[in-house]
Amino acid sequence: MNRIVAVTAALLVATACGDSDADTQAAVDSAAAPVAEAVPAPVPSAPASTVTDPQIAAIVVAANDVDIAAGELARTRGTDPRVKEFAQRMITDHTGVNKAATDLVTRLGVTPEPNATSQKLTADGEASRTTLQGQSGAAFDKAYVDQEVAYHQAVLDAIDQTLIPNAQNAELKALLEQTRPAVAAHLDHAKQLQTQLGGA
Amino acid sequence: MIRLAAYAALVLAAGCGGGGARAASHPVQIRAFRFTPDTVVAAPGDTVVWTNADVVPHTATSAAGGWDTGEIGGSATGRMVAGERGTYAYVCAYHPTMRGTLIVR
Repeated sequence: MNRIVAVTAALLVATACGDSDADTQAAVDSAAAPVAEAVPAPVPSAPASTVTDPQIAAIVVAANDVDIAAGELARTRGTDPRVKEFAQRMITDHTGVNKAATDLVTRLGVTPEPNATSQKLTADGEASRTTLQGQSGAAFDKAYVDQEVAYHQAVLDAIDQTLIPNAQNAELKALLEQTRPAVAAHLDHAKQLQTQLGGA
Repeated sequence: MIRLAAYAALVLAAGCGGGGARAASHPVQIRAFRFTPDTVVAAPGDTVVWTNADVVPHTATSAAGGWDTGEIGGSATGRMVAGERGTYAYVCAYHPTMRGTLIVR
């Protein structure tokens, strides 16, 4: 649950509010609430923050790395074969996206610039995995899948509201546009899995 | 190897149904997690060729079983030869929200 809130908060911060500590803390504070209430809804009317291409590159890599690491945990600790398969898919796909992103920025001569959002994503991802490690069996599966739904929704919102609108380089923008359907498909897949687990 | 095996199996499944007719090729683009076109109409013996323009691997796999291209990596192609007449729903085995239809007639 903590990962849902923390990662979602980091991406919403990137999406809507810059990197205000106060905003971040307010979002993290909601971690005590139940999952369904803890994930704040995106704010479509919020102004997009300004991020540079090197910062976008760092955010993309960090976001992918967070989900790869969560997938590696779920692949070994998950119980339901569908959850393990999904986790493996997240590892494969996000690794592919990261490679494409890394190849592109290398070719463009853009050096990813770590920033408050990318660093927070990484730190929150680590904290969330620690929380997940305290779970097992069906509870782990459910917690992981719930997080995946919230995570991909938050990433999708960040892509739409911050990353694509701010990307200056046409090829970087195109990569983000190409990544979007992957994130959307992962979100749908995670929701499907969430329903299946709920009905099991 | 898997792709070759699947291809060989599908060719065998197609048998000699094509007779002397000229077999056609039907390209399907996989891009942005979609099969385009999402419906292909082919004759027995025709070849369907999927080209993956995404950066992640996909498959074209019959929903009811019976045929599967195996993994199609980024920028790679997968193919199968249409066999028995019928309508075949197919999916990407990795991304079940990706759906297409192959009509063999």
